[in-house]
Amino acid sequence: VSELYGGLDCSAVVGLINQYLDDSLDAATRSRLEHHIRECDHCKRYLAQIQQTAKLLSGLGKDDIPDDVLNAFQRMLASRKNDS
Amino acid sequence: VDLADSKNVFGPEDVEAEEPAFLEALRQREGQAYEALFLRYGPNLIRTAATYLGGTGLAEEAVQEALLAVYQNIETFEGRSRLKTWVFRILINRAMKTAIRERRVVSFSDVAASSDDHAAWLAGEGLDVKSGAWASPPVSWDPERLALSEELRGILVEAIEALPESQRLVVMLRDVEGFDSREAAELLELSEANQRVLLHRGRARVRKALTWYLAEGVGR
Repeated sequence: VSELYGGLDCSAVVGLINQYLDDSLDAATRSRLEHHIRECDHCKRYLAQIQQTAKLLSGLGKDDIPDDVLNAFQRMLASRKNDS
Repeated sequence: VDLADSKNVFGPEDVEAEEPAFLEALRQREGQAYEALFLRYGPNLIRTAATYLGGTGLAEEAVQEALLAVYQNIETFEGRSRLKTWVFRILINRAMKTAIRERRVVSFSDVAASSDDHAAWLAGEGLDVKSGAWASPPVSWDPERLALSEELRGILVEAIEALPESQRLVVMLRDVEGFDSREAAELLELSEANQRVLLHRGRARVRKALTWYLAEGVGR
């Protein structure tokens, strides 16, 4: 049986975590959820792993542009310039 | 235009700053400003287009068309959103048009989260829906394997590719491209609440994929 820390069971916490992370919970629900997370190791770990996942994903944004795409773009730009 | 040789007064960082001088250069149709814009957002735009169009030449074509549209319509940018959001909106419109033409339409129909659907999802996350408690709690991750290695990068990319398209788009825009909740919802013409559901489900799937790799105490 789930411990109702903060008056929330674990499935309610998991269902609300996306709103929590987007800071779109009302103050009362937010503080209940934070209370639950402080007391419940499983939900604490779940939240930490979701945050970690988002952080790892944000590290993916630094790819280089393939050369052929860059070249094609530059050719296009050059031809626009000649047009105008 | 030879990039290696050019002394571009604008770097990719100027694009992000959206300085008045940079916007003015775009309005003046200065090639260097467009190059900087492309260097800054090119890979991001191609990735986003590829979500609609697959890893084909079509994605790159859509990006080129979008940047040409930026070039032609820069006067209509009024600064009501970030420049980045405006450019992505143009790209997404192009990519969607091509997707429709090619009959590759992204469906957001899996957003409609009925309560049955939500319960099934919670069960998939390891919760016992009846009691509301964890049936199979999250296992801990090995902190040493968390550094962004090539291997881990490969697992992330695979996990993103395996997501349903609608989740993949939201995860890409929010986590990889750094748009906020309101911007992503606007770009995809979704409600913020639906956008959030897709984001969380996408992240949750990626978390599971990571767990396979990061779980502590698994023999390898």
